[in-house]
Amino acid sequence: MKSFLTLLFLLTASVATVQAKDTVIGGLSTRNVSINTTFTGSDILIFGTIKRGDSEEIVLSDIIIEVFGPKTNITVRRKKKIFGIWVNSDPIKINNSPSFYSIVSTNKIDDILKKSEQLKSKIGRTQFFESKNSDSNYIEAITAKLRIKNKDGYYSFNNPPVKVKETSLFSASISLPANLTEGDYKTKIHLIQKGEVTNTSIDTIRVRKVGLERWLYKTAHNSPLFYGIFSVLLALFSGWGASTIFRRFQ
Amino acid sequence: MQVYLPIAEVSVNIFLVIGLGALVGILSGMFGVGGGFLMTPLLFFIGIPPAVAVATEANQIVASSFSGALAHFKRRAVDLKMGLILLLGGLLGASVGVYIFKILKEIGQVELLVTLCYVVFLGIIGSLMFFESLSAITKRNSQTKPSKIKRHTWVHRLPLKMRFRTSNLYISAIPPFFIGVLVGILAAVMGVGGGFIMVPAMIYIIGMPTKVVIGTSLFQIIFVTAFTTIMHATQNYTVDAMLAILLILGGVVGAQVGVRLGVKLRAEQLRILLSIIVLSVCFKLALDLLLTPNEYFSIMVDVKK
Repeated sequence: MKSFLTLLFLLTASVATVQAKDTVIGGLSTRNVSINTTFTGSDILIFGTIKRGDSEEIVLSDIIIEVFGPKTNITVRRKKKIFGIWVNSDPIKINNSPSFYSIVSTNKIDDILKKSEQLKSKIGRTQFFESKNSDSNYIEAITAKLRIKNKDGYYSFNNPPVKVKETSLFSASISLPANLTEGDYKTKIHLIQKGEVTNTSIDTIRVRKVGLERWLYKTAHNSPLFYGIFSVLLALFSGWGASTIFRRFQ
Repeated sequence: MQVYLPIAEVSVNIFLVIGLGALVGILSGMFGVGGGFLMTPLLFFIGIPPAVAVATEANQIVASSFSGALAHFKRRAVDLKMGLILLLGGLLGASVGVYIFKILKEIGQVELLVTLCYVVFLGIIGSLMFFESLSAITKRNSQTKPSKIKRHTWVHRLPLKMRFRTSNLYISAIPPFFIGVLVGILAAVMGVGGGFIMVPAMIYIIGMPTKVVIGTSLFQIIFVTAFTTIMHATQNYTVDAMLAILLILGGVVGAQVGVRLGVKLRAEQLRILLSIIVLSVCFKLALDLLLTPNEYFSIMVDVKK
């Protein structure tokens, strides 16, 4: 009942204009995600509070949280039928594409943030199309990328909403899939007031392979010759071991 | 229980991978084949990227062929000189194969190449095996003598003749060298040992005595797959040691079970069974090429330079 009254108060007060800036303060349940042998994905709790500015008037606020995976350059190919078989063709390069993207908000993005603001502040689905290249093939490739990434669990646009408590405390859970790209994951918490982004808090989650996973990956990329020879010796040793053990049992 | 594979960058069920290793191990123990030509497509089916599947399978074959070759070395059933010539060809072939693989990987056609190779080779071998064992079953009572291998063919007219004491042959080094090249290319592109090509070629083209054929081909396969593994590791970074170890673990146990099972079953029936397995894998891969895909687009992360 109490929260309902506050909400009512908020709604009536939201008509007033912004005089001093409200800010958003965010936190993460963890800043380090370790990919070890048994890694099956991870849920990250993103929480925070809206810190009211000097103004006595309270503005109705919304929160949008975005998480970006490390950027990679990708190539999108379309399958075409050549001599009766389906062959990848028409490669289109998309540079600086985040390997992971997740967006979650208190209300539907289109209801709380103006289209022009979505474009300007590069929030949500529109940011992927922000490009001078308006070639239809390019647009189609980007649409395909979003569709595939969404299906594979790397991009998510329809998350359960950000939970709000006591009008200024919020929290949301973002799940990272098992097949993660290593790197720094940027989190952005946007404070939305009157259809515009008024403040953004940025943080970073470090996603790293650890232990055996890290050693194998690093060695494979930094000293590939050693890694190759190591793999062969490992195989020879296991082959020899297997034949020796089984001869004992015969 | 899931296990994260560091190079493939996928999380897979550990028991599924060991189980696949064991299953293919049983088949290879039963039929005396390497199993690479079954394992690599099965790895595609469980979601391992084809480039990683091919390179890692080459790594696994190092283990299984070494394990097998040790037994043949003890019986002195290896023609080392012939093995070395096959090996020289194999190393050249593997280098060419990895190079082709690298180029096709960069232009996004490696899946197509690997799948096409599999459809063609599995199709040919599966049907040959099927019809051969079918006729063997029907003719079993009609006591036909196997036709004698011709001792003098076009192979004997080629230059660069050498004496191979273990095989009791005096022939040109050119055919074994080129057989080696072909097998090397297949090892690099398909992630197979290539025994299924090399063994018939050694018997019918070179005319080697059957008792040294398996040992000699295993000798060549160890070195060619070891070289292929190192080449893939340095050129494509696609060897997943974690995946390889799991496959080897399942494979060695499976192979021992397979050998014991194989003794109890009749050869022709075994071969029919194997040919049906080979043909169904071929059929599944062919469908992927021929059927209209659900998703026309595919994404590939560019290789970091």
